[in-house]
This record gives sequence, structure tokens and C-alpha cells, in this order.
Amino acid sequence: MLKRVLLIALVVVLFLLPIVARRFTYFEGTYEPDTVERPNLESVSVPTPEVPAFADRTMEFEPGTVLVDVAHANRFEERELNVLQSRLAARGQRIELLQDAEELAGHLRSARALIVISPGNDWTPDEIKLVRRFVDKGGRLLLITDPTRYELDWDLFILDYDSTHINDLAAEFGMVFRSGYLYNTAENVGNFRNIALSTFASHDLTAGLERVVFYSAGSIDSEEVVLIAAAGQTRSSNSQGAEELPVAVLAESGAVLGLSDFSFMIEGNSGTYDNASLVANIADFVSGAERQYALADFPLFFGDRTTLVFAGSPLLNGALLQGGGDLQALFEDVGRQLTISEVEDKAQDALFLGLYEEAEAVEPYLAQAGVTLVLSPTDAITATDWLTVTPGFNAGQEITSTAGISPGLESRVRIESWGEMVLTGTSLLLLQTDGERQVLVALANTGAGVESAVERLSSGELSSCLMRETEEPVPTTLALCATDEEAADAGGGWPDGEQEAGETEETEPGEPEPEPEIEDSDTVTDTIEPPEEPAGSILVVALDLGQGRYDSMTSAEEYAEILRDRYLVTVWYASEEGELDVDQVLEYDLTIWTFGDFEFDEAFGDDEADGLLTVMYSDNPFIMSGAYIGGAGVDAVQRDIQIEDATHPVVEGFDDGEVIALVPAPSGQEYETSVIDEVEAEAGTVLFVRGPESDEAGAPSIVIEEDSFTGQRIGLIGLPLYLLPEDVRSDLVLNMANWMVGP
Amino acid sequence: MERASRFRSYVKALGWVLLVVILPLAAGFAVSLYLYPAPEIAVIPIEGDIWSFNSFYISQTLAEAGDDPAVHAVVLEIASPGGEVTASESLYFDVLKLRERKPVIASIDELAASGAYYVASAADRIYAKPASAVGNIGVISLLPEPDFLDEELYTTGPFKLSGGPQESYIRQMEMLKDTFLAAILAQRADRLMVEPEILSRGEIYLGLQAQQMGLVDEIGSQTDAVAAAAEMAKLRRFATVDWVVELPEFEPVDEEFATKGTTATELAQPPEQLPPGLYYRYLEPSQ
Repeated sequence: MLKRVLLIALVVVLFLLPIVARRFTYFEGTYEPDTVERPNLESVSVPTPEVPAFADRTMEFEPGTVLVDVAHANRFEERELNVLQSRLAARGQRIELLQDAEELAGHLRSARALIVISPGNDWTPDEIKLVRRFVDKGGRLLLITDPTRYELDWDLFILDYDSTHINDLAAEFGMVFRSGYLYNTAENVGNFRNIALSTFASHDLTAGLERVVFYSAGSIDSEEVVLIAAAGQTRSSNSQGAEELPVAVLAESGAVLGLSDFSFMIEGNSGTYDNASLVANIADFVSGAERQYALADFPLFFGDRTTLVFAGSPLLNGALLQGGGDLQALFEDVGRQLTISEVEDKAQDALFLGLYEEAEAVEPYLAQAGVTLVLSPTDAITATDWLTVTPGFNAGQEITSTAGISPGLESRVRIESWGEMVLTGTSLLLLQTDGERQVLVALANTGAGVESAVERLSSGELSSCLMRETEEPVPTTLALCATDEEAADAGGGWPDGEQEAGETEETEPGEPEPEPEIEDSDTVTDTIEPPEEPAGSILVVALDLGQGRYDSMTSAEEYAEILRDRYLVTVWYASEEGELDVDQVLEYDLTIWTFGDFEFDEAFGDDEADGLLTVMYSDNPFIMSGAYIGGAGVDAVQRDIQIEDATHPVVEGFDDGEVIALVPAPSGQEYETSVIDEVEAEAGTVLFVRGPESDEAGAPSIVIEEDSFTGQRIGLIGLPLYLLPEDVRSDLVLNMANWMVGP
Repeated sequence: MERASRFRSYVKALGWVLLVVILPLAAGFAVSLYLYPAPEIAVIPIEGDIWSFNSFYISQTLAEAGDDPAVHAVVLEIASPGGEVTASESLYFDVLKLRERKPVIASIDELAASGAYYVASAADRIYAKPASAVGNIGVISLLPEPDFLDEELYTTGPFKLSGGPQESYIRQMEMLKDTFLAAILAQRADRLMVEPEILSRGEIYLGLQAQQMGLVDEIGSQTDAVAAAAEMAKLRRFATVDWVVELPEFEPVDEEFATKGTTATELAQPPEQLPPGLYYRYLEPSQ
């Protein structure tokens, strides 16, 4: 039995042996898994923001305009301003967009506030100066950046933040917007970048706020008043350390507000927590500007009602009525009323417009400003003055008693501490505070001068005027400005030029139409006083761009001097910043394109080149004159000219074969001139050749041409006119002009 | 006669030996083979983006490893920037399920970011190299189109087209981020050295940093991870077997990846180039 049991045991042991051995070989024990924890998601929920009801308060503000910059590639859309615009509209403020930075100065004149949001271009130093002046004069400035308003260069993967472009402007007012963004991963409103803010300085801008949420804020470095700051566990992506992070800063004694978040005021975000109240407070800030208007801000310094008085009570004509109407419209545009009256209404502000000679009505205002007008006889005005002389004033009349008559001197204005200035071509602008009233006096020598002064006022362009501000005895701003007086008014109103007051200039049937004139107030166009019966109109184009080879003279003055007694002459200088109206060039009977010693290739502006081509391809006659108009490609010293063909009417009075020596150049140098291409000259008549003392003697020098088909007459004078003796050039130019303009 | 008798005795003795010794030994050996197949540690790769289609096959591989009696532990070899939210969540729960049966060790190669770390966090232990990139916890998504009304297209609800206001979508993302954190805390709350607020910043850490913060348990190679897996599984001898996640060849893998892209530049393209969705995904810096 035992044997059997042992046998069975052996079998079992032997059966188990490989099993145990295998397990022992591979395993040290048995794996007992730990309890596997499942995530506890019960506490995870969707965060829900607080959206309280908001009712905007009613506040009265003076209606005005809020300028919003969109001229610097600003990174926002107009619709994002809806909420702020709504609050501003409730406060009587109208949003105006600054589309062109060039118009900044003009827009700022009437704006109550300027809002700059996320610019994509830099502000220039000049623009910053304008904004500085605007703020100094009571304007409000709101600067906003937003870390989400960047642009990405996909090639370089460079982020261009708006703070880069606003900081030049912001730094002017003591704040710098930092790059980077704020975040709070511990206490936020639905996202790390939605930071809740509850640290406020006591100020109207933070009134009623307990908690606001900025949805993408940066921070601002500033020593100015920190209105709102991020605290607690909010960090900046740039520093990540615990620090105070200002997000709203008030500078310039409350005139400049910087905000480092734009998103809190856009629809959808503006309703959460106290954001709506903050937007309303900002609207109050923007609307609450108290602008101090200066002379350049005409007519904003006037009150609601202003009387326009034409000093001297001139006979009102169409021009004056038109001017008055324009002024009324200008006043109306800025919410003010202007009424015309014969006499000043002491209950209202006053605007006086008039001539120096009829300034008695404003004498008290002038006297308070230390201004004395001294009027003298008209013959004191020299004949060379291009501005029209007013003949109608009383010779020797002195309006104030501080100066005696000085026969033989020009009319002038004497200003305390400044001395005396000539009245002709000068307008006087005087803004005076008379108690609660604002009184503006604008005087000039002629009606055109007054018109020019009003234009200056309207444009606010007084930068070229001589200015003085005084506080005693009354606050006064005085400006003396140059005028563009040249044209005589029609009848009535103020007399102008040699025209008597009340005299009208009418075109009689059969008389020629008024001569054309290039109209561009920005350019210097000298229209020489015309002869009584001009034989035609001539435009002298002085091609004076670049540098002359010797004396840098064009001879335009010589042409004008010679022709002015017979023709209506207009001189156009290419170097001035004007735009030559090509179409009007053809309205002249003759054009003279004179280079003098200026290089042919450099002396043209684009407009002048277009004008010359236009004339060349028309039937109109023209003269081209200058040292380098020859087409032979050879420059040679020229000392004289010689008559080649004395039979032509252009050389009437010259003798055949006569040699004329050139006069010494102002620089004293010998002149090289370009030789005129003989082939070119063959098409016309060679009147003069280079004289025997000149290099390339016998080559054409002065040529005229008459197109047999079109009849177009052309003159080529291959040397500067001023190198010819006076009598020669006078005869030559008059003959040539007469031949060209004549039948 | 005697010879015949002696021969019978030999045969009888041999029969007894066969019956009593060889047969039990053979039977025992056969049974031991069945009971204790040669143990293996399966190394399963999780590479590249985690998208719904490849996560399905990874899940299938995990299940097979779980069912295989030879596989006594699993090492997840991770080199992934993460991917879709639901795909990552799916793998997370698959790993948890596997852990109920066998030890699972995560071995982070160069990168286990966002959704890939989400998956790794489900493992018993996490190994990483000192320079591995680990973390980037959080959600990324482009906002849905704003709501609009159309004259021709009618819906029965204001958000039928968009799915909801953008603001709600942002809050949903926040909720998902909290879910992500909860998943990590469930596995590693006792090992984390930093607050969840720090993790939710979404930073990506070096492996060594991650270990110091408690995001990773050990610094070591895949071999170390395998050894740890063997230790957890109490294996004396084992074989390491690389399992391959078999992807069907007909799947439009290339096209799928090409449309999504793999760099920040590509993924941050306008919505028409980025499939709408929520991602636990790390955007590698552009070149």
C-alpha cells in the first residue's frame, strides 16, 4: 500500500516538477495590479461669465467730434468700435475717421479727442508734435493696443506687434506699451488670457467698477497714474515674475489714457462683469475734453453766436456775399452761428473783416494790442511791385495817433516791440478776448488780401505767420501773414488794384477774353502787370531744375522784362513745387522754354516736359532757348554770333554779316554752348551762326522754323539770352515774339 | 526460458519507468508550457500624431497585448506631439484598462507632448530621457465661424451651423483643459511637485525638468523601462518583443497628414486648411 502511495506521489511530483521549474525559471512572483484610479470629472464644468444688466447714465456733454485714427494701417475694424461709438453718440460725440495722416492737423483742429488703436505704422515726429499740441490745448487722447493685433511674416515667422508702432507716440506722454501678454492660469474667466481685474485707483474712469475682464491685455510701463492694474497670479508672458502690471494708465493730468486691451470693449465682451461701465467711463473721458482753441482753430474759438462785420461798411457785392455765405457754412459745420451785421453786437462774439484803410471800427482792439497803422500815399508803392496797389485809401491817413505821416514811405503797421512792417502783401489777424467775448479782426491791404487771410484762417495754416501772444491788457493773439494779393475784385466791396471803388471791370463785346492764367495757389507764378492792350499772352517757363553749369540763370527775367510792355507775360519756375497745368499751356499765344545755362537733361520736371511735348505736337508757336539745346552733341566755347540771314523779319534792324560779341557772363567765365545740329537747322532758317571768335564758328546758333504744313513757328536760341547785349536781345526777342504771335 | 523471463522483467521495468517517471515529467512539461509560456514584454510604439484612425489600431494592439498570456508587461514607446482630443482620451482609457491586468510603463523618446503625455500619464510609471520634450498640457483649436443668418439656408436653432457662440467654444476648451488636468491628477496626484496652475500654462519641459516636477518618474532608456516593466511583472527571465501597430495600407495616411501639417506654421493656416476640431497637440516651432 505504502509502495503504491509512494508511487503515486512520485508521479505527481514528477508531473509538477517541470511546471514548478518553469515558473521558478521565469517568474519571481505574481503581479498584483494596483487599483487603477479613474479621473474625477465631477468637479469639471464649463466656466460661465457674469453678464449683469447695464443701463447707461445720462450725461450732458458739448457736442463734438472724436477723431479715430485709421491712417496708420490700424489693426481693427470699424464694427469693433460699435459699443464705444454708441456710448459716444449718447454723449453727443460723432466719430470721424482719420483716413490720411496728411490731414491730421486739419482734423485735430476741431476734434475733442483722438483715439489711436493698434497702429500698424509708426507715427512720425511731426505727427507726434501735432498730437502733443492737441493735448496741450485740452484735447483728449486715448491710446489702445492689444496683444492679438499683430501681423505675422509667414516667411520669417516674425511677429510685428502694434506696441512697436504706438510707443513713439505713447512715450511722448510718459507711457510705453510692453510687448507680450498677460495671463492668469489660476483665476481667470474662461481662459488664461481673460484676466479679471479688481485693483483700481480712485478716479472718474474707474467709478462704479468692481470687476472688469480684459480678454487680451498687455501691460504698460509708466510713472503716471495707474488706473487699473493686474494683481494676484496674473503674469506677463515676457517676465513671468510677480509684479504689478498696469493695464490702464492716465497721463498728462488726465488728458491721455492708455489701455493695453481693446477686446474688452468690443461686442460680446463689453457686457461681462463691469466692462460696460468701464466703456461708459471711457466715453465720458473722451467726451469731457475742454478744448482751448487758438487762432489757428478758427472758428472754433467763437461761441454759439458771432456777428460778422465788414469794416468800413463796403457796398456788398456778389463776392462778399459769397464769402460771407462760405463763412456761415464754415461756422455751421462746427455748430456755430454767424450773422452778418453792419455794426458790432457787443452781446456776441465778433468777426471783423476789412481793409487797413477802413479799420476805424476796430481801432480800439488794435490799440489794445499795441498795433498802429500808418497809411501813406500810393506813389510810395514802386512800380515793380507785383501786388495790386489799392488806390482808394486816403493818403497819409493815420488811424491811430501814435505815428506821424511819413510821406514817401509805404503804408506800414507798427507793432509794439516788433517795429514796423509794410502793409502791402501783409494781412493782420488779431484775436482778442474782450470780457467773455471773442473778437477776431482780419485786415489786409486789398480785398484779395482779406480773402487770403480768411483762407489761411479756414485752413488753420498759420505756421508761416509771425505770431505774438500777450495777456495784458487783454489776452490777445496777433498774427501777421503774407498774402497772395494780385487780382482786382469786381465792382463794389473793397476797391482793388488801380480800380476805383465801385468801378466794375466788364468785358465789352468784341474785346478779347481775359488772358489765361495758370491757377495754382501753391506755386509761384509771376504774372507781370499787363499792358493796357496786350498783343497776346506769353508763358515763360524757366527750366531751372538741377544746377546750372556756370551761373545757374535761365534768362526768364530777361524775357519777361523785354516782353512785358507788349504782352501779358507769366513766368513759371520749374524749381518751385507747382504743378504745371499742361492743358492751360496751350491757351497761351506763345511759350518760351528757357534753360539759360541749366543742363538740358536735368532742367525739366515731369510736368514741364509734358508741357513742352504738348506744345511741340500742337500748332502753337514756341521758343526754346539755352546753352545746351543743340543736338549735335558737341559743346564748344562761344564768344560771339554772326548774322547769317538779315532778310528775315526776326532780324530786322540787323546788318547782314554783322558780328556781335557776347557780353561777359556774371561768373566771368567763357561759356561752352552746344552746337546746333546742322541737319536739324536745315529744316528752318539759320538767322545767326557762331561768330568767328567762337569755336565751331559758322555752326548754327539761332534758328527759326515755320512748318509748311501746320504753320507752327519755332525759334531756337542756342545760347543763354543774357549773354547777348541788351539792345540785341531786346530787338531779337521782340522781333521773334511779334513774328510768332503775329498773323 | 530464463532469458525470456528476464526480457519480460526488463520490459516491465521500462514500462514502469515510462509510466511513473517519463510520462508525468512529459505531462508536467506540457502543462507548464501551457501554464507558463515564455514571458514577453511587449514594446508598443505610439509615434507621430494621434488621430482617430491610428488610435483605433493602437487600441487594438493594446487589447491584443492584454489578451496575450505570454505578454506580462507592456512598454509604450512614445514619440508623439499628441493629436486629436478624443483619440488621446481613447488611448488614455485603453491604457488604464490594460493596467488592470498588466503593468504598463511609458518610455518617452524625443517627445511626449500634450495628447501624447495624456496617454503616457495613464501608465504605471513614466520614463524619459534627460532631453526628451514633455508636457505642453492643454487644448488648441481655431474658433468656429461666427454665427450668421442666411436668406436661403434655414436651421432650426441659432447655433445649428456654428455649434455655438465662439465664447462658449472657448469656455468648452477650458473645460477640456480641466479634464486633461484631472486625468493627470488621477494618476499622479501623489507624485506631482507642482500645482495644476503651473501645468496648465502649457509649457513643454525637458525630461529632467519633468522628472523634477513629477511629470516623469525616472530618467532612463527604453531598456530601463523594460527592466522596470519586468520588475513590476515579477519576471525573472523574459523576452522583449517589439509589437508593430499594423496600419492598413489603404488608409489615406499621407493625405490625412498632409492636410493637417506638422508645424505651427502649417497648423495655424486659415481654417480651410485646418480641419475643425479640438486638439491636444503641440505645435513644433516653425523652421
